[in-house]
Order: sequence, then C-alpha cells, then structure tokens
Amino acid sequence: DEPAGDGVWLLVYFVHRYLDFRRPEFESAARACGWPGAVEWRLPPWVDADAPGADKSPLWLVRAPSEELAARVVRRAILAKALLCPWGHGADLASCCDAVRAALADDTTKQTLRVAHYTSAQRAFKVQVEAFGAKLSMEQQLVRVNAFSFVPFEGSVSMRAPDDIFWCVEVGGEGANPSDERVKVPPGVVFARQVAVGPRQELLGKLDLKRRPYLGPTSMDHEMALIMANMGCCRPGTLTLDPFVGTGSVLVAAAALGAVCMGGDMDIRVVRDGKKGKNVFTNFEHYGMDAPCLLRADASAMPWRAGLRGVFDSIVCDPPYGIRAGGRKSGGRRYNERPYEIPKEKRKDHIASTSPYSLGECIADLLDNAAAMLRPGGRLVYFLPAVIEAYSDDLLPRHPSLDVVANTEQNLTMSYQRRLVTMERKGEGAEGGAGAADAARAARARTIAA
Amino acid sequence: MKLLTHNMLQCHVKGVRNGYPLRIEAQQDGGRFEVEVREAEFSADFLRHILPRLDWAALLEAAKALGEVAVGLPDAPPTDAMMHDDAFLQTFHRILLEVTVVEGELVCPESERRFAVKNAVPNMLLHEDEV
Repeated sequence: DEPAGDGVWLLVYFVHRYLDFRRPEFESAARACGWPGAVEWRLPPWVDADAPGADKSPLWLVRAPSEELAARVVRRAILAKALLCPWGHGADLASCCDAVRAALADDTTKQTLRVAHYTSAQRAFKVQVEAFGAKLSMEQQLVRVNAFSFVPFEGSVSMRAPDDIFWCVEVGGEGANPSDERVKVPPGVVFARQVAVGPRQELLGKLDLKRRPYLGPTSMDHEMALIMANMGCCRPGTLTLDPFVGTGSVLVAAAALGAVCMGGDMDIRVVRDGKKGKNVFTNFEHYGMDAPCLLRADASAMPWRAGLRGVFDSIVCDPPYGIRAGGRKSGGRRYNERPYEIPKEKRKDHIASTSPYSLGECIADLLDNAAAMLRPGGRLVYFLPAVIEAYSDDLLPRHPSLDVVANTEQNLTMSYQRRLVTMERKGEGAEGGAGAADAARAARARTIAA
Repeated sequence: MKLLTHNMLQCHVKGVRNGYPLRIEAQQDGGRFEVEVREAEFSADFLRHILPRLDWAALLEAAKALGEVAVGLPDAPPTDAMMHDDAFLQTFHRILLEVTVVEGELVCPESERRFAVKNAVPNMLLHEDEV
C-alpha cells in the first residue's frame, strides 16, 4: 500500500488550529510552489477514515513529487508544524516499533528511506518526543526515546546542532486528558525523520500583532492573514491587491510571502494619516518590507484605467461588512433629493460624503473587480459573514469567470461564522472568460438601472 | 506613489472620455513637488511578469515628468533581450518600483481635475457630484 508510481508519501504534522483551513492552506501553498497537479492526501493507516474525529487527525500523509518540493511548501504553510518522513507507524508504541523494525529489515524500504545515510557515523542526530494533546514527563519521554534504541544509529547524539532530527509523535496516548478536544482523534504513534519545519515560530513571532506599531480595531489577526495570503498563492514575483487595506494586516502577510503589494481604502485617515505619526507604511518599514503601493479609492469604483485587465495575481481582503466597520461607497449626498453640488472654492480639500454599502453590493463589486483584474489562474480570497443556521452552499456568491476552489468556515459565536472563500479566475479560453464577465456586469447594470 | 500605481490609474469623473494618463505636476498653491527613491527588493521575475500589463508610453511620460531621478527608459517597450539585461532591469526596477512621488498632484488630461498625492498616497476618491 506504499507509493504507487512517482513520488513519496510524507507525513504533514499540523497544529490543532483552524482545522478546516489546514489542508486547503497546504494545497494553496503547494500551488504557489509549482506542485504539479492536485495534492493527494491519505489518513495514516492506523486511522479508520470513518471513525469519529478522523478528519481532525493532526497527521496526514501526502504524496509529494519530491521531498524538496514538499519541504518548500511546509516552510510557508502557517498551519503546518513539520514535514516528516515516516520510518514506521502503528496504533501504539509497540506496533510502531515493530513497523520500524520491519522497515529496517527490508532492503528496498531501507534504500528508499536512505537508512544507511541517515544512520551513518558522520551524522549527529537527536530524537524528539511529541505528545499530541498530552504532556509527558521526562521519564515518559525517555521511555519512548529508548524504545527506538534498536535503530542502528552510528553517529553521535547532539541536542544543540543535530544534522537530523527524528520525531516520535504520539497522538492521544498516555497522559492525554480525555476532556481535551484535541485527543478526540484516533490515537497512534509515528517514528519519522524531520524533513522540514513550518514557519510558525519565525513568522508568527515576527508578525505578532501585539508588537506591531500601527493597529486598528479591525486589524486582521496575523495568523489568519498568513492563511489568507497562502490561499491567495502570494509569492515572489506576483502582485497582490487588498481593496480594503485598512491598517494593512493582510498585505503585511502577503509581503511576508514575497508578493508586491497594492492597497486601496476609502478612508484616507486610516491608510495615510494613521495615529501618532504611525501609518500603514510604518508597519512595512518595521518589518523591513518594501513600501506597498497605496491609494485612496472606492472599492465599488476602483480608478483603474480603461482596458486594464488581468494585472493582479491575487486579490486578498476582508471587506467591511458592518459588523465591526460598516461599508461605505462614494456618492453620498449625490443621492439626496436635491443633489449636492460642491462650490468651486471648496472643491480642493473637499471631503466627499459617502453612502452605506450593502453586503450584497459589496460582494458583487468585489467579484466583478476580481473577474476583470485577476490574471487567468489568479485568486480572489475574501471573508464572507454568515449565519450558521441559515448558510448553505447555494448562498455562496458566484461569478461566471470565477471558480470556487475553497470555502472554509470559522465560527465566531454560536450563531455567526465567517467563511474564507477562495475563487480562481478562469482561463481566457475557458467558458466564462473575460467576455462573460463583461456580459454579467452589463446585465447587472441593466437590472440596477431598471 | 510609485509609477507602477500611476500606470494603472485614470480619472473617472462623470463625462470624462479620456482620463488617461494623468499628468504628474507640482501642487498649484504651495508648488510642492517631492520625489524620493525608496528602496525596494529587486525581482527580475516580477518585472518580466508585469511588463506586458504596463502602458509603456504612459510610464515614459511619467518618468520624464519626474526629471533626472527617472531617466534611462527607452522610447519603445523593452525587447526580450533587454528584459534579460541586468543593467537595464535595474533601471526599469528603480523607475517603476522605487521612484516615489511623495507630494504632488495628478492632473486629468481632459478635464484638468486635480488629484492630490500626499505622503505618497494619491487620493482618487471622487466628489459626490462627479460619480
């Protein structure tokens, strides 16, 4: 039951957070790294796929085209703790040891795992014990390390600077607190070589909101912003737009993944003026990131030049829905019974009034803007608020030029949730290309006019 | 405002038929016109990726308006060979992504509507009676 055809089955060890987002985030990161085709997942063999909690498993096998490519993916997937190359796994410690013994006894498997290389005298190593949903004492950890003493390591142990780190990951075993939500997953033990670690330590520490110079009440949490930027496949050489940039949290994450950033906001005070001499630019400077392109503009009527199409690789945003910050669009007093005309002498520093911007309108404009301004294959990532009871996939806004590629939920209260929707711009040749987008927009304009 | 941004913007005031490209000018009253070079990470991939989406004539015109800080662009869009020439790419990078208009105004070629650029952020929001 091992890898058929090309590739190698590696184990992704996820953190127990944003469970719904873990595999989609990895898949998007994979796409950003040039992963060929779809990502193929498999639960570890000791997990019965129909067992309750199976999909919450922190460990997932992925068929990787190469170790090197999978390592690059894991290094940017914020919900991945580590990428491991399993040497054996089982439902408990004893069966895991048996599996490793069997692997070491089989010449082909030994060669595939490069056992001779990783156990050679030249390589210093250490074994690290991980108990998922449990805390193990030093003694308990030693029992596990010693259980694998039959592995013929010839190199020395180095706790500080090992060449290789071997992980013994135990899920829901001894010491697990049965009331802990995390242990409601099928138990198991894995012995594996570390291929790569995720970027959590480096990026979450660096981008921590608590240490950011300029913040607002709606600044996106840095972990979620990184998930969003990954869903948008932000990477070096690409251009990302956030039309509701606010204090810039989403763009900071996009820039952390290497994208060139552009942000628009209706409210000049938030973007340019900021607070106490600190603004969006200050945040980027603080992290040593390039200044983003910023402009004051109305997301319902972006000031793009005629004929500009397909310029962005991703549009990533958290639109203002009126829960914490209400949506506004330009027009304002224009819609009064007697439209307001601005006297000539007051035009220069005039602050235009705005009118409320409904959720439906806001999303329709966002989708239209994305259809026109994303390159084929480019991605729109945005949050959609929903009432848990009332939500169904039929209610998800659609667009003829955009395919839904992911739709993950995060419950905020017992009755409200927000959904992170990821859509992909269809190719030019595909049905529903630019022509269909323009037609849809024209049809809507006619409906609104009527 | 980087020239990349400038290249993408036009005047959308109601009734204007051709609001592109916007002229970059000093502010009328105070006459303030500030341009800085703000260092940005060089990426040849990004430049090659964005080139087909740029309006070269507008970029050239904007660069000329900024004077000495933005010289070095050819009159015609760069050839494939130039897009693999490091010296040229460095110049192109500087003008597109590093040269920053900090204070000034953008002027619509048709209506003369002026959009202020302050602290490197252009204000493209329209008045109530312009939409």
